[in-house]
Amino acid sequence: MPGRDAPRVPSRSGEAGVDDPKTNWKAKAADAVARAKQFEEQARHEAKRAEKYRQAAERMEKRTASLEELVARLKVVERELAVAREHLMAVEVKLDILEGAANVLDLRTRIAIHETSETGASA
Amino acid sequence: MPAPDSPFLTLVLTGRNDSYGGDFTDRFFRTLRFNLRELQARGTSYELAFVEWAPPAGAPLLFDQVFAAVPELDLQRCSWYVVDECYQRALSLNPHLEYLEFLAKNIGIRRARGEFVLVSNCDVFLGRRVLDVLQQRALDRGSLYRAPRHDLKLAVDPSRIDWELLEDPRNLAGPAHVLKPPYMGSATGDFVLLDRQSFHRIRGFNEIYRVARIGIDRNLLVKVLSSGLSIVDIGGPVYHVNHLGSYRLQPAAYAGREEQAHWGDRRWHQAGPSYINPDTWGLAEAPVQQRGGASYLTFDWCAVPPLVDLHRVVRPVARVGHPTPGRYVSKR
Repeated sequence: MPGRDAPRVPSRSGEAGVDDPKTNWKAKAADAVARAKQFEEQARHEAKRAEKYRQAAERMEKRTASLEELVARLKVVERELAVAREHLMAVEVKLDILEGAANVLDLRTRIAIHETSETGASA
Repeated sequence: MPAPDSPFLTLVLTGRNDSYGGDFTDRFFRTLRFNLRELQARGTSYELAFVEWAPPAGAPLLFDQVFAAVPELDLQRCSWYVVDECYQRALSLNPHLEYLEFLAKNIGIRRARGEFVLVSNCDVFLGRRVLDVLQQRALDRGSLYRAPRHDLKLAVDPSRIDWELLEDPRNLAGPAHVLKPPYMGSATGDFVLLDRQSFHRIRGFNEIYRVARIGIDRNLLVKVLSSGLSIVDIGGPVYHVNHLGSYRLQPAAYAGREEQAHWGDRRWHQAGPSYINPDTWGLAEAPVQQRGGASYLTFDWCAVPPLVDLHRVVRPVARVGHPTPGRYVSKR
């Protein structure tokens, strides 16, 4: 059994032994600092991502608002288009009637003129 | 309120002795016999309102032949109108159009006495379900009833029409038509059934657009929906034996020269605008002479509506729960 003041045996690799409190504390501190740096780095990274997401969310919000506006405008345009088509159909139907009337009157006039000229010729 | 002696049904038909489709007179008499027999067998109270539109000079009137050929027809239950051919020429807005069929039908609708008015065609056989509904009087006012048309093959022998022949699916020329809501269109002119009051409220078929015959029946459906009435499938078919000259067999006969078709240009906006017929619809002011049991509508310019009356072409009224009219289709 080793005595109380027996010297510490260095490890085979020459490093301080794990049970050396000073070395252990330093290693732990270095490790903690490294980890802190790592966390800081990670925090900065996450903050950047959060900012990116915030900006994306803002953009999406704006897009959603403009899309909703667009949908509302489309509905109005759709209604207006339907009304315009109804008007167009009515106008084309009226044009058909006018064209038909013109054809009929043209025919009647030609017949009347023909009959008049025939009567005139025979007189 | 209908008059106490008024029939439950007025059957409105129009035709003339012009050999339409080859053997029009035979087809008409055969169909009329079948339909009258079936109506009578079921005890359905009816009158026939027949409009002999612009009969050709020199050919005997259908009126002069029908009672001998159709013994089931009783003059007491028949109103026969012979319309001066001058009306066709005075009213037409299309020199190619030979027959203003729906104006003729309006004459019958306007003068119908029945509680309900069935507008059909001379070669349409009423189906069993239709006859049953008429017998049971299971009809609502304010509803326009439609029936799908089953076309029978050209090869079917029309001289031996009976239920077996009509209802045999092997005799069908192609798949049976199915009526699609909301318009329930397709061969509309073959079966339109509506109470007389509603028919008079909407003033019959379109009399403003006298450029085509085709599609005027379809246009009635726009008017009906626009007027707040509903369109209902009666639940069974009517039958039609295909014949030469039928639009159904040659819809593209005038492809590329539609304006020359004797039924008019089928591309007009029949499912678009609505119309408001004048008070005088159905040639209400035409002078009438009674001769030998028929009413002769003699020609008078006073009875003829103006050639052009554009304010009577109107946009249909959108009704809550009802469809909007047809889509715009470019003609040219």
